[in-house]
Amino acid sequence: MSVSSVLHVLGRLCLLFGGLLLVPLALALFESGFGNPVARALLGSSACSCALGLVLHLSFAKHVEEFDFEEAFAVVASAWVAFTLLGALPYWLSGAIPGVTDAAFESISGLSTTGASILNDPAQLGRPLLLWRALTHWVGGMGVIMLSLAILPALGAGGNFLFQAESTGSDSERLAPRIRDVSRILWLVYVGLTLLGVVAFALAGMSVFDAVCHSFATVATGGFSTRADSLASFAPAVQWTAVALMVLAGLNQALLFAALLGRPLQLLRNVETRTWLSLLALASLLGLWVLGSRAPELDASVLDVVFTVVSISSTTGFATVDFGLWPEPLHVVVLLLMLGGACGGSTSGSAKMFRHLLWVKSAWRELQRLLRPSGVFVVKAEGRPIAEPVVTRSVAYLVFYLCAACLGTLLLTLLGVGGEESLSGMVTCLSGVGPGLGAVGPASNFAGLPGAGKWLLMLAMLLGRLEFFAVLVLFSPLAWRR
Amino acid sequence: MRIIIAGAGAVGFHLAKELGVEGHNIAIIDVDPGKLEYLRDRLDVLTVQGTATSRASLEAAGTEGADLFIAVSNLDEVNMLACGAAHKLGVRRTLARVRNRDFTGESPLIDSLKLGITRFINPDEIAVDSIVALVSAPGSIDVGDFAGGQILLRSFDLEPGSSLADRPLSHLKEEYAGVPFLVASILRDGIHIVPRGSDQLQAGDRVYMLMARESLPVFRKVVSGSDRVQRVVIYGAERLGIDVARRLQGITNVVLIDEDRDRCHVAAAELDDTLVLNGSPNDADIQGQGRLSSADFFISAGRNEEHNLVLALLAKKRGARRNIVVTADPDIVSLLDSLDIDAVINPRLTMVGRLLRYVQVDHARAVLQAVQKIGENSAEVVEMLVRHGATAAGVSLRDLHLPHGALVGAVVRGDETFIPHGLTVLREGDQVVAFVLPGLRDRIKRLFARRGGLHFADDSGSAVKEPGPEPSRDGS
Repeated sequence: MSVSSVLHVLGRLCLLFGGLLLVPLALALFESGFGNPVARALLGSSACSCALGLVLHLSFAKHVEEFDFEEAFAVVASAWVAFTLLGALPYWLSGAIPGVTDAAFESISGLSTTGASILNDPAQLGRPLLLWRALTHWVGGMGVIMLSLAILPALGAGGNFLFQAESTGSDSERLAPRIRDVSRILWLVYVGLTLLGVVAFALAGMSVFDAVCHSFATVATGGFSTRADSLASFAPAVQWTAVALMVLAGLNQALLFAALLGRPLQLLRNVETRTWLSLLALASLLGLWVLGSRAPELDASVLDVVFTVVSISSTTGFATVDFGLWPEPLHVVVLLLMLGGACGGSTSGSAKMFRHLLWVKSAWRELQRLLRPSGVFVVKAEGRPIAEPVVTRSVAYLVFYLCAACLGTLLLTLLGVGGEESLSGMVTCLSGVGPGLGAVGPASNFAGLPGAGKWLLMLAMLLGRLEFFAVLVLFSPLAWRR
Repeated sequence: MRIIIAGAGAVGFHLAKELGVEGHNIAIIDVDPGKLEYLRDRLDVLTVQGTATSRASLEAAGTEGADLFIAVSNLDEVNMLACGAAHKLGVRRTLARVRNRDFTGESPLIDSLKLGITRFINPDEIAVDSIVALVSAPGSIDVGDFAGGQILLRSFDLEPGSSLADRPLSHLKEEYAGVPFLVASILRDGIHIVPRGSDQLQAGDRVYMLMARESLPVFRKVVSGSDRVQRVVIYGAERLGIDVARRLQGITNVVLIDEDRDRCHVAAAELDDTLVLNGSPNDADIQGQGRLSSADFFISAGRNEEHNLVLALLAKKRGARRNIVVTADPDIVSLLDSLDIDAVINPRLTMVGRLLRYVQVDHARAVLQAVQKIGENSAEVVEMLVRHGATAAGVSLRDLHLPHGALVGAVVRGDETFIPHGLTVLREGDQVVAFVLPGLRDRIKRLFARRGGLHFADDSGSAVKEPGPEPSRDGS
């Protein structure tokens, strides 16, 4: 592992991050000038990022020939840790969130597009910090590396490794021959979706500022809202708009791009798309049935149920209703939807449909193998064979996820957190959803957890966003062997 | 007709031989002087040494002014280019042997006519067609396709209790009106009988039936019952084996076996509904997993000729009901009768048969188009073209007074295929499939040839096939 190369690239990414901090700074200056502590905090944070970036970039040289998979993974993991801390600076320096732990929690929750918050009322942050919060979602949804690939000069051969190390989901087909063009196309779709969201939210009755923040949070499948009660106090038109946008954000963006180019069938025929949409419909119907038969007194509307299902399944985490009050079977449904995720190649977190499909298919294959030990069986999707490493990697993901969830739940309960909160909190953070059940449910937040518990959940969010491998690979001796 | 053949391999050799017998003038081009020498020693043809894509070779072979150019070398690209060049030099009809399915399948990648190629001939597709025809005809041992696959000959052994047994054929004809079929011959106690309307089928008869292709499902239903093909085991995950499996996998249970793990992976990736087993079909464990004992067909299509043969024999010992051997070795065909093998497919010779058909359909000099021998008693199915001015043209079948033991089974007229009756009047250009007992072929042939002229130089009777270039059971 060439630490020097890693730090060199990391420096460049920090510079980029410092530039991002200028966006909310501009809003703060526009609103109240330098007198505002928020503006000073944002300026300080930006300066810190840029200074750190410059120092790293200039002091360490990049050895292109040594930039390989392990360096790429190291860059991704260290960048996300660095951004978490740098992103927490505005909250902490401005005094809006006094504790370092809480500020870092809010920061990684934003970057990892989880949307779990420790704030009782986000509105108290003020508009510049709310914008920053939404912006961390928006940048984190696509990935900081992806952003740098699109706008920075070529990273050389390492770019491909970086792209693979950070991107989530299936090894989707290359949209363009050059990695730089691929990331540009994906950003184009992303920006397009975001603009669509801003316009749609504004038309549905939101203020422009709310529309921008919510569009950022929805397209990234994040879940930070500008209000304490999330989307509950917005009009139904806004909520329906959010449902539509969350569905779009949960689809494979490469296929969305193909659909925009006039090949909608490619999207609609895709097995992952179909599976996910069926899952949404099924879970909604189940929810309506359970609520209608077990808890008619709650008088839950179709919108509430559909919104919750789509919000949880796309791992966004907005809420219009406290599903913690719903009957127990629906708690399980919510947990299962968290484990499900949306489609590969989207900004959503969790396992995603393609992995579930691969698990089911490879498990079925093992049954066949028992009966026909000499049989040669190839896992296929849409008639096309899936390479064996892809199948085993998806199973490895399952193993990591389950280990992390079990271990995390155990540790949280040891820290004195309740069972329901521990399990749901761990799953929601690993999957990047946001609200959990019980005391960490949609009507509440994560402020009441012990400090160590928060750090544990922060680790879960990081692991979940980077899909374990990019982080865990650094613990393999192979990564450090010369 | 002057015909140029590019490629002096097995296909080129047999093609030259068959066409030469029919009186065509043949020139053959190949780079290998050894092959040409072998050819010169055996056939009366002009040989040109060189590549089929060079002007010198093409001109030396007399390509300008030739009627037909057939490129059958091993290389698709060379064949295609050679045909294009020949076309440029003025040959109107060119046939190219091309194995790449992207060119020959549905929605081909290349417009053959633009390249100056009249038609692509894919030997793999032809071989697969033959095997699938064998497998999809239940209970049949002798199978033939005539008139470009529109007329089928299928045979089956009538089992006791069949709904067809002990009833006059004329009754069956009424019952299955609208389904063109004809009982062409009955093999009873070792003797071929050409039946009349009053004859009855009996249990134990081997019945030969000619029918239009669209009648096959009906026929299958009537005959089969218990005889449905349930399981086909294929040995050899080569191109041919995989293609046969793909065609059969929707219809029946298909098992594909190969020793090579990588080949198995390729096959498993391509096939959706086939069980691919990695191992030797000779291994009891593999046989169990593939349920070899309940296989209706075992198809040997591996790389090794001898291995194929042995495995086919062993499979039958292990309970497979019928076996088919795919081979490139013409000698194996002659083992057919002495070994316990039900059918042999030689893709190259099948290909020769198909090529001959293309040559003859348009430019038939001989009346006789195809002959298929049936069983050891050598009853034959012959395919003939009604020539201009023939005795048979413009005469109803009843007035033609066919000799006893000969039967016109089917007529192809344009796009239409029908089973004729006594009042059917044959026309010039009709293609006729007839069933004849030994010794009658020449007499029949005369009825369809031009009156007075002896235009066919091949009264020896060895017109299309004989010493077994084409296996008697392989569907050409």
